[in-house]
Amino acid sequence: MGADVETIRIEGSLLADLYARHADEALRLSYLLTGDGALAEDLVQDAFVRVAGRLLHLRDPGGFHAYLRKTIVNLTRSHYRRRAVERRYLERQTEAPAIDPDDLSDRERLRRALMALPIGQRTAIVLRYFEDLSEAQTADLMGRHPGAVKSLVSRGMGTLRTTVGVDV
Amino acid sequence: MNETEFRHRLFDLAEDAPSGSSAPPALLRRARRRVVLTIGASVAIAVLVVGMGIAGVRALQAAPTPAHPPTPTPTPGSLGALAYGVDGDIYVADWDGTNAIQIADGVPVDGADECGQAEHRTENIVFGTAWSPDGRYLAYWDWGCPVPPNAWGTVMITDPEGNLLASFPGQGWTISWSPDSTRVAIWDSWGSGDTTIGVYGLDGVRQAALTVPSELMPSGDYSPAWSRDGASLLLPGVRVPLDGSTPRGLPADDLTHHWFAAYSPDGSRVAYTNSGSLVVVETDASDAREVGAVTEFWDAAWSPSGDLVAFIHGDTELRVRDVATGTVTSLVNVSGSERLRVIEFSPEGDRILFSRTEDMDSGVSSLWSINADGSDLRRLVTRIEWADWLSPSQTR
Repeated sequence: MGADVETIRIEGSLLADLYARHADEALRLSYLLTGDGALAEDLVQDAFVRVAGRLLHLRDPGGFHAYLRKTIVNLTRSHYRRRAVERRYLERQTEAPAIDPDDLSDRERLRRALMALPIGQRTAIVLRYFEDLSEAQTADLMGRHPGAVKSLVSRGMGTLRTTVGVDV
Repeated sequence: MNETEFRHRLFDLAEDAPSGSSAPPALLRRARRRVVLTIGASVAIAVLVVGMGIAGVRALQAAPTPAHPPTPTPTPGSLGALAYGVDGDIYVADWDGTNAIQIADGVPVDGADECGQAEHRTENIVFGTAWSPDGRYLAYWDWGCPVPPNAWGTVMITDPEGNLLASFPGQGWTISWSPDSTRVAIWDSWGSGDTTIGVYGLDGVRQAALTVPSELMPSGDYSPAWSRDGASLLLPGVRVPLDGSTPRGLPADDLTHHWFAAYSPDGSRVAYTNSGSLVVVETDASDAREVGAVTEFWDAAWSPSGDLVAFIHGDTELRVRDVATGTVTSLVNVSGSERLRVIEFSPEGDRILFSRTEDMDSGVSSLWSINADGSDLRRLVTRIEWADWLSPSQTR
């Protein structure tokens, strides 16, 4: 029976159910980190595949969302590192068309302001204020010292204060 | 904008994210393949029809006996051999891992979902019950490119020497052998739309196509398993008669709902997990006994006599329980960063086959066996993804 059992473990991992349960939350996090729906989907799917691969090794399978969240943050960071040169090049080549900020909706203004933050600041802010993690949890997830997280949040919020009037 | 307003604005912005209520089939396939790759190590195991012996060790760290590396020498395979997959190749070896011969040549299953244009590659993988119950045939998947239309891969059925008897496209995971070793069952179609079980003979000809009504399909990814009498195929809570009569749901207390269960060879008892504990119970649901805590996933095997249950406690400890006396004996311990999985007892009941995963990322494991009394620990294969050991009880 052992062979059957091994396979059933995989089959019983309910990957479709796991995805259905966690995808929306994961996509929202990824979207806030990237500001790009298609990219958010790609990152979440990659993260899901990675976490699924480790599913049977997770010490706490009930913490699937936490594993998924951490993987999304890591993949997002890797994505922006990988794209940094390309992005800088593209930004030099194609200046974003100037839009009067007054013409933008509040939501779009916030999205642009968030996306204008360095990825570290953006991640720290999203984890603190959207995922509602503590500084210590955020630091652990980002692999940074709590002091660094405090600094990232502080600097990011300082920028948002200027751009969208956040007063936190 | 104060903090509360800022949080609300973030939540509002997040509503622009795409919806992910259902996973695209391609994503699930990628995920499942990834699971296979990384768990592969966790291994199922293979056939052992030979006696074993000799003195033992208690801790894995203590003087394991390395198996001989697989040799390309094409000597005939034998009944009772171990069958396993490594890097897309399939091997058959003696019970102790020696005299391994490669019976199928492939490339590592890389988890890639798409095949390139005109790309041809073979990715063989042992997945589930590779050996037929009588040990005369092997079944495994080729998940290479090109993928047959409307299939996930190709089922390969060979003799123990690797001579191909049949191949046919299919979907799913476990290739389930009938109790009489004359047929296999797989999914012909699974997922969206019709869900159909295909039953194939050793000549590769489909003998039956059994549609499972969507309202009976269990939530989750399951393969059909044969009933002990060979007259039906089972899913959790569902019986699909082979004669084509209407599939029916089973009562809530039916043991098929405990899909993560192992049946004793005579079918009289079953062990399954319940609220984190390993429970042994008569199949008439009487005399339930809690055997011990299990942490994450099911990991247990019955001895052929039904007297012993071997199980993994806390991922890192191999234990054996005398069902009659309740005596639990610890056989093997490893460090917390490693992972053990129990695979199977030998047909004689004197040895236990298990895997040890040291590298969780790659999932690649080593394969071990030990006497049920804790003596004669041996490492059989140093690197392995999947394997199968002929089991006396592959049905329910």
